[in-house]
Amino acid sequence: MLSFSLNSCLKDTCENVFTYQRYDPVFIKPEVLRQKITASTSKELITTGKIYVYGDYLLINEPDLGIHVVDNKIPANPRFISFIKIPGNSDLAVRNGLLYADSYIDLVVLDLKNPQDVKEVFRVENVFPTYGKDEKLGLLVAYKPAGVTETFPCSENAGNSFFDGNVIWSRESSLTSGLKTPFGTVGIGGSTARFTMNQGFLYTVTTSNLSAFKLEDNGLTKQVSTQNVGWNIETIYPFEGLLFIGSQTGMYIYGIENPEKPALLSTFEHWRACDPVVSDGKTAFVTLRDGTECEGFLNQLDVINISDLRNPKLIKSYTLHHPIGLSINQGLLFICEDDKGIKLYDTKDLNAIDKNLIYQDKSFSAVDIIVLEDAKIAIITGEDGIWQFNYKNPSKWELLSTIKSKTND
Amino acid sequence: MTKLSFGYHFLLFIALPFFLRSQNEGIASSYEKRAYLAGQFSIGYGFYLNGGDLISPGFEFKAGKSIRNNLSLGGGVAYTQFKPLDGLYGISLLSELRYFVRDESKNWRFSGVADLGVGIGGSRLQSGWATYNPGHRVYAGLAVYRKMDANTRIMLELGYLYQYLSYQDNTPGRGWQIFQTESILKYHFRRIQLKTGIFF
Repeated sequence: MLSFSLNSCLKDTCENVFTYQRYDPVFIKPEVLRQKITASTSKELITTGKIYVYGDYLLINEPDLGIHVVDNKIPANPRFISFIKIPGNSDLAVRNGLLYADSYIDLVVLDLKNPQDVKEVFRVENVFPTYGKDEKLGLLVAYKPAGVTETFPCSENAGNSFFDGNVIWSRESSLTSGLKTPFGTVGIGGSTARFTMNQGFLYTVTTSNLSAFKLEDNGLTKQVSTQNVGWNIETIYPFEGLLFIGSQTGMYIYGIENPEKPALLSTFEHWRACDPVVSDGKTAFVTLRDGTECEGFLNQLDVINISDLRNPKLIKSYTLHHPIGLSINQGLLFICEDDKGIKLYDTKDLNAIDKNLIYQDKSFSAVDIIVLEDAKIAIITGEDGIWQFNYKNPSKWELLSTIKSKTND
Repeated sequence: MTKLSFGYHFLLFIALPFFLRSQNEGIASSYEKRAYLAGQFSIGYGFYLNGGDLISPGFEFKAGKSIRNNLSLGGGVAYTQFKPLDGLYGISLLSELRYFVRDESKNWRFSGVADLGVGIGGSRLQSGWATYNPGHRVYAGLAVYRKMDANTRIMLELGYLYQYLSYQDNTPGRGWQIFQTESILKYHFRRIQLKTGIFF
C-alpha cells in the first residue's frame, strides 16, 4: 500500500507536445484522374504557380488545380477568360496551339485554339513518377503537408506512428525564369520551368529523369526516351540546340543533335543549392539560393563561360540576397531576389556585373520572370501575384498591371 | 562538471546567511522575532519516468519576516537538480509561509511551511539546442528547529515538492515523413524532500 502510494505520488511524468509537418498521401482513382479535361469560366487566382506566355495569352498555373488563361493582349489590362481544371498540374508548355501539361503521372495534350472551349486531344499515361498504388484507393499521386500538433509521453518516439505509409517522395515546387525561344510557334516559359520545347520535341525533367517527347501537330505525343540525369533536378532551359539543366548540385549541358536522345556534354558542379540557369549561348548564368528545400547555404550568381561546351569555366561569382528566377535578354540580366524584389544588370563586363546595376524595385516579392523582348515587357511572378512592367527605359520601369493572388491578400 | 558546479553553488548559498547575519547582529538581539534568514540543503527522492528511483539534491536560500504571531512570510530562491545526467534542473523564485507552533523562547520549535514558486532558469546542459520555458513549483512540509544560541537554530524539514519544467526542443527532423517544427517537453517532477540547514 505504502509502496503504491509512493510510486504514484513520487513518480515523474513527462509529455511531449510535438508539432510537425506530416505528409499525408493523396490518392486518386484512375477514372477520376483521367476524366476528359475541359475549360470552365474564369476563376480568381488563389496561388501563383508557374507562368507561360503564348501569343497574347498569359497562362498561369494554379498549383495542383489547373491553369488560368488570361488575355494579355493589353498588358495594362489583363483579362481572365477561362480556367482549365487539370488535377495535379504544375508545369506547362505550348506549341502550335496545343497545350502540354502534367496531370500528376500523366502528360495531357489540350487544344488551346479556343481558350474558352479547351478540348483534351491526347494523353500519355504513366510518364511521370508515381509513389505507388492501392487496390482500393487508387494511384498515390502526391503527399500533402499538414501541420499537426500531438501529445505523446516523452518515452515514446513521436515519429513511429507515421512510418506505416508509403515511402515519401516530396513533389517539389519548382520555380522558373524566361527567355525568348527561337522556334516559331512555341511559347515562352520561365527559368524555373520543368517543361521546355525544342524543334518539335517536348523535354521534361523530374527530380532525376530527363524525358523527350516527340510532338505531332495533331496532338499525338510519344515518349521517345527517358534517362537518368542525377538527383534533385530542378529546371530545364533551352538555347540554340542545347538544354541547360539545373540541379541542386550543378548545371548540366545537354546537346540535342539527336533530339530524341539528348547527350550530356558537360557538367558544372557547385555546392548544394537551388539553381535555375539561363544562357545566351556563350555565357550561362546560374543563381544559387539557400532554404529548407534547397539545403544549401549559398546565395549568389555564378557566371560561367560555356564557349567550350565540354569544359565550362566559372568566370565570377556574385553574392546576392536570395536569387531565384532570372532571364538574360540582349545583355540585360534580370534577377528575381525573392523579398528584395527585382534587379536588372548590364552584363557588358562579366567581371563587374555588380557594378552595373541599372534598376532595382524592392516593393514586391519576385520569384520568376518572363521577358518579352519585342514589347520590352517583364512579367514577374511573386508570392503575392503577378506584376507586368514596361522596361523600354531600362533604368525607369513603368508598372503596367498587377494581378493579385488571393493567398497573400 | 555538474558536481563541481553544484558544490560551488551550495557552499556559496550556505555561506550567504552567515554573512548577512554578521551584518545584522548589532541591530537585533533576537533577529528571529522580526525576520529570519535560512540556508538549506535538500535531498529529494522520487521515481523517474522510465522506472528506478533517484535522488535530487538541491539548496535553498530564503529570508522572511513575521507578519503576525507565529506566522512569517518569506521569499527566496531554490535550486533543485531533477535529472542530473541530462543537466535538467530548476531554479525558482519562491514565496513561503511558515507557521510556528511554539514560542521562540523554546529550545525546540516546530512549524508548517508551504511555498509557491515560478521558474526563472533551467537548462539541459547536454542539449545546446533547447530553450527553457519558465515553470512553477508547489511545496508543503513540516520543520523542526533546535536552538543553538540566541539567534541561531539548526533545522530539519520534511516535505513534498511538485515542480513543473518545460523545454522547447528544436531538434530537426525525425524521419522521412516528418519535418519537426517544434517539440515542447513538459516535465512534472514529484519529490519527497528532506532538508537541513541553518535558521537565523
